[in-house]
Amino acid sequence: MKILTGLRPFRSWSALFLFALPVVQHAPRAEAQGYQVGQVVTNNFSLMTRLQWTNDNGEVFTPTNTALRLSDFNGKILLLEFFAVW
Amino acid sequence: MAYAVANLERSSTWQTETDTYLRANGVNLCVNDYTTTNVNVVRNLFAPPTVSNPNPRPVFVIINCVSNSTSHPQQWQVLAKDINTGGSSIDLSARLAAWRNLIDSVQAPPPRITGAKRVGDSFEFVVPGQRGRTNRVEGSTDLVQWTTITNLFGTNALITIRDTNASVNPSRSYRVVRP
Repeated sequence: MKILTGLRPFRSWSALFLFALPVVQHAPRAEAQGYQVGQVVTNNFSLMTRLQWTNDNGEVFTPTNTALRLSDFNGKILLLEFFAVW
Repeated sequence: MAYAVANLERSSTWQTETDTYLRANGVNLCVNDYTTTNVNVVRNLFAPPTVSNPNPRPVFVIINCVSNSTSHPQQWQVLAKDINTGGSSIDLSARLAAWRNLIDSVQAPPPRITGAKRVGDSFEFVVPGQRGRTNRVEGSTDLVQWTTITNLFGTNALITIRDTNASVNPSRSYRVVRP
């Protein structure tokens, strides 16, 4: 009886550790804090075109909510400004 | 280099003001950082809301999308990030100068000759420049003696080279030399 009582706390801590570990391992560290200077962006994110735009290859992105992806800027330095007028 | 502005505000109240702002500033590459179901997803990749700054704006991000750069070999690397709290005017002059220097420091990949074709009696091809460098375009009929056709002075722009003596030298090789 004494042995079983003594094991209970140990089992509880093991369960907690096993549940907690996958969460820590899979946490997207870069995205949780936001990509930092020096990190490589691994997400080929997309934004929706508001104005018609033609890239250097002559590819036209129409203003009707065409997805513009990070990879569409291949070969350039991209300065991206997130703004709001309010 | 590409400058893109991303609109964070999807409320219909501000869309007229947004378009006025874009026209007034000559912005021709504008995107919306929202869809019918999500808002500010991309902004949050770089500047997620925090307790002290629940709605970061404006946010500036510079990303190196150049592959095989001799100075910045990691494509898609974040070169700079600047987060503000909005609500007042911001003097960006010092930061703009720093960003310009940073962007100018990214070297284009080593030049390759592309788009080679004959145009009438001329032969032309395209060579990308390299910012801050002077590269030399040379031609040879025997691959031993090389003569300078032109010098390329440092921008990253594509430069078309036209050899008007192609009919005189029907067999001629070309190369780009970094002195």
